[in-house]
Amino acid sequence: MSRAVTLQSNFTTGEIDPLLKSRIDINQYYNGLDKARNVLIQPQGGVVRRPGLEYVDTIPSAASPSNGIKLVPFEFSTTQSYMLLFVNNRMYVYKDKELVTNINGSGNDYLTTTIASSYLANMDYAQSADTLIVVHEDMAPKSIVRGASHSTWTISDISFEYIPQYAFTITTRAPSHTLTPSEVDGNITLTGGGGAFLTTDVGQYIEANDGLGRARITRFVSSSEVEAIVQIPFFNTDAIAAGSWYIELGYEDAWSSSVGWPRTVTFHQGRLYFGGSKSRPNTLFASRVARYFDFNPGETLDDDAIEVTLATDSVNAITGMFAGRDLQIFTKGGEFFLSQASLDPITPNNIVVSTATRRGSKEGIKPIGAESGTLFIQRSGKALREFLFSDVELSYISNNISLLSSHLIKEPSDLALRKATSTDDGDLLMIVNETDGSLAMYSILRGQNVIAPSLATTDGEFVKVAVDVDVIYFVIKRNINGSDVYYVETFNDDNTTDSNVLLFGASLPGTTSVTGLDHLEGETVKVIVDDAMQNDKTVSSGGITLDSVPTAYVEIGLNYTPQVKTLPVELKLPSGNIMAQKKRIVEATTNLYLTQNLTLNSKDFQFTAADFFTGKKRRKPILGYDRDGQLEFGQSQPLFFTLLGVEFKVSVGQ
Amino acid sequence: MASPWAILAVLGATGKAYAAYYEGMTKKAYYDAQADLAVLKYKSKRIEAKEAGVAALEETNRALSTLIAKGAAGGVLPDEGSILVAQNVSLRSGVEDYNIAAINQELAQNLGVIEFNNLKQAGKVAKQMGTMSAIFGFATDIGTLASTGTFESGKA
Repeated sequence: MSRAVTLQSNFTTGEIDPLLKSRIDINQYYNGLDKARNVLIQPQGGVVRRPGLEYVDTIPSAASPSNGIKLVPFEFSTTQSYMLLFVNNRMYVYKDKELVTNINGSGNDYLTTTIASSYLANMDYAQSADTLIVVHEDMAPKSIVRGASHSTWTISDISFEYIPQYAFTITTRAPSHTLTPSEVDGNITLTGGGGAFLTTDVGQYIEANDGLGRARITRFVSSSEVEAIVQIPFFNTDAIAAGSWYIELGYEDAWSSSVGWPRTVTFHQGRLYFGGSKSRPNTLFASRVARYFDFNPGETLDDDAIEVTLATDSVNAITGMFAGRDLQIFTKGGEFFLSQASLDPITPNNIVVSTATRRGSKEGIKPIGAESGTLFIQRSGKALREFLFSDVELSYISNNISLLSSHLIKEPSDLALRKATSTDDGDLLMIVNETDGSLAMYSILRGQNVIAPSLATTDGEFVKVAVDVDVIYFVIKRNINGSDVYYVETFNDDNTTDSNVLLFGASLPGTTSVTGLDHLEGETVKVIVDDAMQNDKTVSSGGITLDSVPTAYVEIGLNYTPQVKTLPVELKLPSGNIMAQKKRIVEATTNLYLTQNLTLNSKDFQFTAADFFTGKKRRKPILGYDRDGQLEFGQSQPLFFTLLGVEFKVSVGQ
Repeated sequence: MASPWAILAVLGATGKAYAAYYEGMTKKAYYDAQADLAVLKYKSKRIEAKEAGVAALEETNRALSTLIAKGAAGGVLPDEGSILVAQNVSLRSGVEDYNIAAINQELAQNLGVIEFNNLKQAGKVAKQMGTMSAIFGFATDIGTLASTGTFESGKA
C-alpha cells in the first residue's frame, strides 16, 4: 500500500467524453472532469456555478411558441441593440431585457410579420445598418427596418430591381417563317410571319442556327413582330430562312413562389449574397456592388451581379455563409471559400470557389465567428467544428473542437457565442440540445488552448439562445402549474437561481410580501435575501411572504444543482499506473474563491452565512476504497462558489 | 508631179497621226494593267479581311475555352450564371469583330470593282483620245499643207 498527494490545479479541459476515461496518456485527462454540470469553467482554470436565468417575459400562447421560435440579435448602433423574437406571424422586440411595447402605435406588443412558424427553424438573416434581411426558401425575402424609435418597425417583401433569369427546363420552338431583324445590334424589331410569336415569348431568346444572332424578346407587338435586345449581333438584316432560327423557351425568374426563394443570406464586400435557393440549392447569387437588390449580371463588369453554381462531386446545398477573412460557404457536403488574390475584389470574372474541407454542416444553425475561426455544427449534429485558415496548409481546415466532449452535443438546434467581456471570462459558446433541452457550454480562450465544456440544465428545457452584444437571451420551455409555457430569460452573473426575479433599489419590497411571481405560480422557489438563504416558498396567487424584510436585495427563483465530479485519480507511480487498483482518497483540500456554499460527496463545507469565503477548506478523513477514486462537489444551496483547484491524498491498495 | 516637199509633209503628218494613235493605245494598255493590278490588290485586301474574320472567330474560340476552363477550375459550373454570361459577352465581341471583317471583305470587293472599272474606262478614253488626236491632227496637218499651196503644181 502506498500513499501519494496529487493536485488538480485547473479544470480547463472541462467535462470529457466517457469514451476517454482510459486515456490517462493524454494531458487533458489531468485537467478534465467526469461531470461538469450547471457550472462554467473559467479560462484561468477554476470552476464556478453557472449564472442564473433572469425572467424577462412570457411568450403569449396566442403566438404559438410551441410551433417554432427564432431569436435574432439586431444591433442598430453602439448604444441601441435589440433581441428580436420571431414566432408565428409575429416579431417581438426586446431591449435591455425588457419587452418593447406598443409597436408602431398599434397597441400591440409585436410586429405582424407573415413569417409562419414552419419557416423559423431554417430562416436565415443578415443585418446591414437599420435593415435586417430574412430569407427562407419557401418565403419571399423580407426586409425589416427599424424606424425612428425603439418601437418603430416595418416589414416588407424585398422589391428586387432585377431577379436573375434561369431556364430550369429548356425547350425550343422553330416557327415556319422567315425572321428579319431591323438592325444587327441594339434594341431591334424582329419580324416573322403571322403566328411566329406568342405573348408568352417575352423574356425568351431568339437565336439563329449558325450562332450569328441571339436576342432576348422584350415586348410582344403582334404574332408577327416582337421587340428584342440583341445579345449576340446578327450577321446582317437579311431575312433568316425558316428552319434557320428558333425560339429558346423556359427562362424565368430564378426565385419566385413557384420555384422557391433564397435559402441563406449575408453581406460581403458591398454585395448582398444569397446562398442557394429552393430550386438551385448550390448556387451562389451576389448583387451588384452597393445595389443590394439588383442581381443583373449585365456584361460581367467588375461591379455587376455574380451567379455561380458550386460544382463538386457531392451534394452541396448551401446551409450557411459567413463573411470573414473570406466569404465562407457552408454546405451539406463540405465547406468552401471564395479565394481572393491579395486585395482584389471578387468579380464575376475572377470568382473562384475553393473547396476547403468535406464535413458538411447542419441546416438551420447559423455559423458564427469566434476569436480565431468560424464555428459550425457538423451535418450529423454530433460535432462542433472550427473552420479556420491554416498558414501551413494555405487553406482552411475544420478542427473538431468537441472531440473530447462529443457526448454533450445531442441534436443541436441552436448555437450562439458571447464574446469575452472581461479578463476573467473567455468566449462562451452555447449549443442548445433539442433532444433533452440541455445546454452545452464551451468556455473558449484559443490563445491558451482552453476549450472547456460543461452542461447546463434547468427546470424545463432550453429551446433557443442568442446574444445581444453581451446579454445572453434564452427561450425556456417550462411546465408551470400543469401547463407548458415559454419564457424569455437571460443569463445574469449576479443571480444563482432560474426564472428568477431580482428586486433591489426602487423595486425592493418594504414588507415581507412579494408579488409579481405569476410566472412561477405553484412552484417551490428559493429565496435569497441579502446574500443569505431564507426558507423555500411556494408561489401562490403570484406572490410569496418572505421570512424577513430585505435591506439590499431579494432574489426569488427556481433551484438548479451544480455537479463537479473529478475523473478517476491516476498517479503514475514509479510502479506503474493505478487505474485498476483499489484506492481511497484519504483527504481533499479545496482552493476556493468568494464561495458561500459547497459540498463534497454530498456533505457541506462550513461557511458563515452571507459571507464570501476565499481560501482553503480541507475534508478528512474520507472513507471507502473503490477502483475509481473520484471526488464529487455540489451545492446544498443556490449560492456562489468558485473552485480553483483541489489537492488530495490518495491511498492505493491492490 | 508632186513636190518632194509635199510628199515629205504628208509623210510627216501621217507619222504624227500614227504616233498620237499609238500613244492612246499605250495609255489604254497602261490603264488596263493598272485595272488588273487593282483587282489583285483588292482581292488581297479581301483575303486579309477574311483572315481577320477567321482570326476573330479563332480568338473568340480561345476566349470561350479559357472562360470555360477557368470557370471549371474555379469550382463552379461553367455553363450557367456569370460564366455563361461572360461567354456570351465574349461571343458577342467576337461576332462583332467577325462582322466587321465581313464588311471589310465586301468593302474591298466593291472598291476593287470600282477601281477596276475606273481604270478600264480611263484606258478606253485614252485610246479614244489617241485615235481622235491622230485623225484630227492628220486632217489639220493636211489642211495646213493644202492651204499653204504645197500640193499646187510647179510650186515648191
